Amino acid sequence: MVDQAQIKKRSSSVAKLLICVGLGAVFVPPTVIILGVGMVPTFVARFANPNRVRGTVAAMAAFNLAGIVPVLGILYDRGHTIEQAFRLLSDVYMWLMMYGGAGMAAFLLWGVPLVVQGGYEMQARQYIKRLEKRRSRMIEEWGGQIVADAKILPANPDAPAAKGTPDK
Amino acid sequence: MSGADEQGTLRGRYKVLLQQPLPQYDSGENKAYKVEDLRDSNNILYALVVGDGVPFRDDIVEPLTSRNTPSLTSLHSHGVVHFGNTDYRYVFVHDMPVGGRVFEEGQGGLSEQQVLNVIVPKLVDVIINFASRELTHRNIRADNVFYMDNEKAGIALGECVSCPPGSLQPAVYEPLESANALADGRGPGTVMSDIYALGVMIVHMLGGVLPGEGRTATELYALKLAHGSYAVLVPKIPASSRVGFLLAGLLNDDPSRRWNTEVLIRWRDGVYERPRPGFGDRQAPGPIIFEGEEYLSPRLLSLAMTKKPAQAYILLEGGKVESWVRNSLNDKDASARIADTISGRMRISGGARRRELQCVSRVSAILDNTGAFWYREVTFSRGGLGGLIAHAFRSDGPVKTAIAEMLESGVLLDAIYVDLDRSEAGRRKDNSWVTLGRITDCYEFMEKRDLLGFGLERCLYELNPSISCMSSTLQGAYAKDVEKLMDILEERAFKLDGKINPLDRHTAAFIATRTKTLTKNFQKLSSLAPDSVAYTIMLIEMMGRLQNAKSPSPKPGLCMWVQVVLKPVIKKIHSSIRREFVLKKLENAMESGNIDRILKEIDLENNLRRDSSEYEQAIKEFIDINTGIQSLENGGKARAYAAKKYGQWIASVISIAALLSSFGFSYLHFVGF
Repeated sequence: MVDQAQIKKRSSSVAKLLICVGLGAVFVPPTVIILGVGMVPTFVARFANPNRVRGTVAAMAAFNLAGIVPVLGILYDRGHTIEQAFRLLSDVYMWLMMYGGAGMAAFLLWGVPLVVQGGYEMQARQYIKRLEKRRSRMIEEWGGQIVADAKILPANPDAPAAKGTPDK
Repeated sequence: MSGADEQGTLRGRYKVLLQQPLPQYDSGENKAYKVEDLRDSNNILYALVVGDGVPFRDDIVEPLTSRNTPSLTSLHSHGVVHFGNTDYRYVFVHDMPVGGRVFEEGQGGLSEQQVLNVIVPKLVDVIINFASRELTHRNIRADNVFYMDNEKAGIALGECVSCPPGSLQPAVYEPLESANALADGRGPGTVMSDIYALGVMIVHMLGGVLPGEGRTATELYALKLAHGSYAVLVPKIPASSRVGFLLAGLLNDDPSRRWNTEVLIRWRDGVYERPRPGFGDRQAPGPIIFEGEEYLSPRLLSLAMTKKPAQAYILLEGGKVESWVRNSLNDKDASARIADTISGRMRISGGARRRELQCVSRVSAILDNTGAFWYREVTFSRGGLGGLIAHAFRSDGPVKTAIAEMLESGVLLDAIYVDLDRSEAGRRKDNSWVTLGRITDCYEFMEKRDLLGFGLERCLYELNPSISCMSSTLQGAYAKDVEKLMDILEERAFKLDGKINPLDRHTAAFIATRTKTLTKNFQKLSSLAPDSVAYTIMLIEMMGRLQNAKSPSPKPGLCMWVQVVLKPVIKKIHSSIRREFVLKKLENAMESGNIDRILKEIDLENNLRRDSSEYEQAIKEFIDINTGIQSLENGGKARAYAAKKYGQWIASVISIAALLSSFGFSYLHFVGF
């Protein structure tokens, strides 16, 4: 049921996009040409997303669009014609601007999780160290017997969950 | 007088010279020593040092010291003497009879004139004096009569207080009531026992040899039952009719027909009577056959049955004894009681052998209700159980086992009930082998025999008010009361750095007997497991209460014992911080020398309780920590996934920000204001 709803929702958004593209092609064809060419990385990311992680396509689209917006500004500035659109597309800097945004997005989507994971690992190591210190202090105070008794006694069902697994 | 001078001195006056023993005056296990009177050097005295575990006759000591008894070696003083360290001994100081014994064995008999005109009147005076105070001497025999001076003018009877009554008497001196009992179980008897002993002494002195010499106590008893004491003892001596009449009166085996003090007074005053001699036990018209022998006397039958209990049980089961008692002896009451016993209406415990023994014992007590009570190796007369238990503890042989079995099985209790039912003229007297209250208590103590403060040891101290605590911890030191016991234990504990056991079975039973206020504590103690902490704390608490109540002076030695006992308990505290804290408090409280204060200071029960609950919490926390560490160590994948999600979320946010910035900058650049 869930899958069917998702498919229905997805097909509805694709339909909306196609209507927008159709209307755009009729009323603002130069803009649609620039967008269609500039947004290729986003389309690729949309259909070739290996992890299917939510937000990655949006991030890619946003960054990609951020690179296209100045190109569109130049287009409207120099004249909103199909000819001018093709002229701009023949400029390598325009391509660099549009696809650079997409590249930046790809880099962020790859690099930021790595940095966050590094932070998490460091935090976990510090936490383990703190717990081990506390455990040593407890053995010192209560004696080695506590190690054996802790093995005999069942684990406390009411114990708070360990903080080692950040839930974000 | 300094403490050093007081060592070995009784009441600051009588110095006991242990280096000068007087073996000729030894009294059983009690050794005699010369005494120096520090106030009157003209007094020639000797001391009897009471042996370890010998129950002296506390009941007659005070009457004898409060009033002088003519013709009796004077008891000058008595009490505990400190001979150094923990060597405390109970001592009796008597006049020394310097003239020696009136009669020496093997030197021929004395003349009738000397015996009847000189010795007997003196002894009659003693007997009358004792009888007037309801006391018994129980030590009247030929070798216990002395000349008090070298001129051999004064004659006196020897001491009678340092040993259980009658325990030093040769068996022949005992009347039928106690002749069959073991020496230490003969009991105090009555004045009739003294009168009988006087008769035997006369025979002994005149004949020059111990009457019945060469015969065992059982043989003598059987002969006396069969023929009467007079017939057994008197024909063997050269006796005039005057002696004959005297002996016929004194040696009658029936106490009600034996001469009493009034007749003795008349005899002393020269009025001679002509009594008929006794003829032993009552005889049935028809015999009963047991093991091929014919018996006419129930007491002889009883004696024979106790020698062969297995065969006797067969005879009893056959109902022959019951019918013989009913038909031949015409004693329907006794017959009914025997029938009750055989039919098993009374409690009989144990296996087949025990059943036999208990049944024979009960029937024997019915057939011979005035004689000694028999059970296995044990025989004792009325009032003699206390002395016998004390002897059993000293010798630690089969008698002790038999006594324990007798008391725990209830055979004696039942026999006493049956004996007391035999009421005389509707009056019930509590004058059986042991008083009903005491034997009921002993039965209860034996039911809890495995517990501290109960068992045979408790019976020993309940039945012997004068006996010292026989704990091996005291090493023979005399402790008559709990106060003295505490002092000796303190000295022993101090000497051994507290490594003693002040509450062993003997000390516990002794304390429980002498200190009734601790009864509840002993009962509570019995409900606790001996290896539990509560048990240890209760033991210490009891010692603390005893210290406060009986001997409140500081007891550093016993405090050391408390430390020795408490350290393993304190080590059970899990928390090292709390443990150190309690140990520190214990060290500080030790200085007070007060056991109760130590317990209050360290508040061990509370500390243990709190430690236990905290330890439980600590275990839970420890488990949580372990779980936490484990989760963190195994949580790499989860962290990577979370980091990816979070990282991409951050990237999305940056992307949106970049888009908005791009819109903003483009608008400003191309549209402007």
